[in-house]
Amino acid sequence: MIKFIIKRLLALIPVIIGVTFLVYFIMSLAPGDPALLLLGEDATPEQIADLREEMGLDQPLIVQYGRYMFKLVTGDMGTSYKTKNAVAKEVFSRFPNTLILAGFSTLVSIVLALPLGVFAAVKQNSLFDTVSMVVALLGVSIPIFWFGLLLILLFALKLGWFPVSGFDGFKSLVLPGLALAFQHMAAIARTTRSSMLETIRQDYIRTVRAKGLPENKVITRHALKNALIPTITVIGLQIGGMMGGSVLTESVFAWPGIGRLMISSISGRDTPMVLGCILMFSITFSIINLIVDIVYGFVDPRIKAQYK
Amino acid sequence: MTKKMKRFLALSLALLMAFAVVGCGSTENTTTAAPADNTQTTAAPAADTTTKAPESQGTPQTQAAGQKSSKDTIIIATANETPSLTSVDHNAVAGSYMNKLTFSTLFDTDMDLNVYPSLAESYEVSDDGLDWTIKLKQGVKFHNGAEMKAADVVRSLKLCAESSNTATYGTAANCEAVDDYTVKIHTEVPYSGMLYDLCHHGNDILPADLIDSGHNFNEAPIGTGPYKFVKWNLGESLEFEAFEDYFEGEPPIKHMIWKIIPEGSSRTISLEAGEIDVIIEVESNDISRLQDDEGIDVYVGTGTSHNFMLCNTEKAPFNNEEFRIACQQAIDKNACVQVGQNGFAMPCDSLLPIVFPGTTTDGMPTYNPEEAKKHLEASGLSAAECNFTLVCSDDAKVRLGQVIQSNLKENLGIDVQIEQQDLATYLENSRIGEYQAALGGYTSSSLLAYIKGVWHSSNINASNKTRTNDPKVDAWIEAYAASFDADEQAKIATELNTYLNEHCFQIPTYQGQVTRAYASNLKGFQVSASGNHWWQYCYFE
Repeated sequence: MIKFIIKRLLALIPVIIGVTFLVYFIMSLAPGDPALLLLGEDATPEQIADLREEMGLDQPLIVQYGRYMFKLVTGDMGTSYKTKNAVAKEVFSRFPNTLILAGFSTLVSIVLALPLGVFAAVKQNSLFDTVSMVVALLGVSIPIFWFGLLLILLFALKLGWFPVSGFDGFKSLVLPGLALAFQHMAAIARTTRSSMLETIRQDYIRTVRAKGLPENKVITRHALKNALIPTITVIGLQIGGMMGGSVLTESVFAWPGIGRLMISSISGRDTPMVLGCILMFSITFSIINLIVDIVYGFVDPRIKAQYK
Repeated sequence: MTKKMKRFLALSLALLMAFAVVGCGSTENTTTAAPADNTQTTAAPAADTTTKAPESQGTPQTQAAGQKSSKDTIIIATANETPSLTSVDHNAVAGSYMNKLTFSTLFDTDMDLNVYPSLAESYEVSDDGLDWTIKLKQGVKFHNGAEMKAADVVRSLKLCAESSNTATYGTAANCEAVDDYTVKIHTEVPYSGMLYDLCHHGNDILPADLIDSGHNFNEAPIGTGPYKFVKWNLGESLEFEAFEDYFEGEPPIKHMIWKIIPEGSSRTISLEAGEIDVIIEVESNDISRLQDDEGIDVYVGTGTSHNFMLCNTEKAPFNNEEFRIACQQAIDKNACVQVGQNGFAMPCDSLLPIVFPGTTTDGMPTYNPEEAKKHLEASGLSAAECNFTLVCSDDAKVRLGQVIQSNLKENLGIDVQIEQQDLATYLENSRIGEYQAALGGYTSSSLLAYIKGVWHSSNINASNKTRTNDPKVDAWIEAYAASFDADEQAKIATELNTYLNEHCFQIPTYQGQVTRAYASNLKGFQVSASGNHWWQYCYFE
């Protein structure tokens, strides 16, 4: 298992090289000049040229990329064009906030979606099944932006239970967490339901029922465990989605996360900052995939045996 | 229908209604026209040449000095985070708001956009207009306790010129300290825009010893401003506290928090919920709703932001003057304002912003579809030659573009294709003339900066995006810059404005408004047409 983990961690190196290469070149190909954005419309061509030189943007692209990678190897993620701060400082000050939001939302979505999916499968075609699947459908259909505003209007403005926005303790986490969780909960619940439906029709489930095992044990001990593999895959993907897709939630709730930073950096053509954000996303996403693979092993010993 | 199904439908309907009630409960009366009485502005005289700075009628009200505030913390919501707290390291409005708290400039602009002395006590200009002698206020303290002296001013003015972000405003770099409280600035040619440049945040006065020692002003901005920097929670908020030795007296409100709330509706709801006290960028959709709230005051006033359909006069069909006039006469500016700005702007028929002395709508053809057809015919262009692409760089501009598209199709049969580009792309393409038409704007607190930026041929490939290259226009601008006589400047402005209007080098659409929403118990709140605030005079009743 340890060997497997080390191999997977080493595989991160080509991932990082690939991601930085792609992002660097895509950002450079995009029209728009970061120097012009910084100097404003009044800037003369000479002033723009001077700033481009100061920022190293007058060098060939491959030289710029090489310099960036050399610095990255030494642990320096570069300096933001816009703020002139170290990218690492800006990214690491916001990244934990995005992790907290994504972590909380994942927890909420799992806690709500798993029972919902399991019961919907067990009580297939019942009112509960229909309602839960309608809720799931709403979850994937309602724009997160609009849902967030509804939550704010009801729970912050009308009832005053939670703050409208900001980052100030657990109370301020509830509404953005729920908004983000609602969308992802839907996907998890639907996957759990279909996976459970498939599993409970298997012969071995009929066998354990024939043995007289109570229904709750049949479901939790025998069916659920086997039905979890696709659900875990979806949860892993959803966590990645929550990190990358948190930008709307972060904007509505003024959550100081990395998603907002990345979007504003893209508009500002702040390549070092965009690279810093995407690197964090890539590394986190790779680690989540690794964790998902490890969890597979715990859920299904046959998979664990294949880890070398 | 089964009983179960009925129950399910009832439950679903109840849920939907609950959401609908919450969603619609506060959205009544969301569209009204801008109040007419707020569209009037007072003309601002040009910089004076007398030995003592004039007493401006538009100087911000300072009755808060000595007032006790019933609340000691003010929370202000803004959409954008400053890129930097170092005054010479950015060119952002969000940054200038922060700099205004921690630093001061020698001069400032008042409610009427007049220049008044801030750290300066008085000034005089030599007869040839080349030398400016500025006397400084004595006893002004920096946040670190040191006294501000002429050496600090000289070093700060040079720093402005040295920084690529603010070099445009570094016109006072050729300066020297005459004594501890006197600074002399020399210019190569007479330049009446000097005092306005000295109001720019790039010319904030910083301690010379800290500049020379490489002090990081982004982490510890030390100036002479009314508030001292406390903390910056990146992406979230900035905190300040009142400076007890501020040269105009300690501000009544002791603590200040600027919260970054990017989403407009969230800012509105935060104010309604009492979580914040002031909104800097008010969503135009929410203005009427906020005006209906008894606990909230909304300020709507004419701003200096001038918006237009940029015409690339080097490219067809906009190299044809008759065609441009036809477009001007075929576009309904009232519709532009209603759709593009939800009614909160002023329809505009002038190629200079109508807040400065001498500016006029004279010479500008007004909305008249029948006349527009005649001009189109006179242009000699075939129907196919008239079609063009209009670049829009945000959603509000797309809405405005759709009005223009519809007007030109309906009145002249012209097909306009709207092309959305992000800001960076639009700025680059419009700068180098890679466009036919685009929706743009320009904001300036002085007419000189505006005419130089938008119309002088030296700014082609910079902010002169119509690429107007007319010796007559350049001559008027240069004469305006060299004149220190307010009446003469107004006369030049009128001549220039009329000429620009007659030739219709671009199509004006609307003049923006400055809007702010704030808790009604906040007193002394003032904002100028250029968006200048005086937080040091605010207090809670």
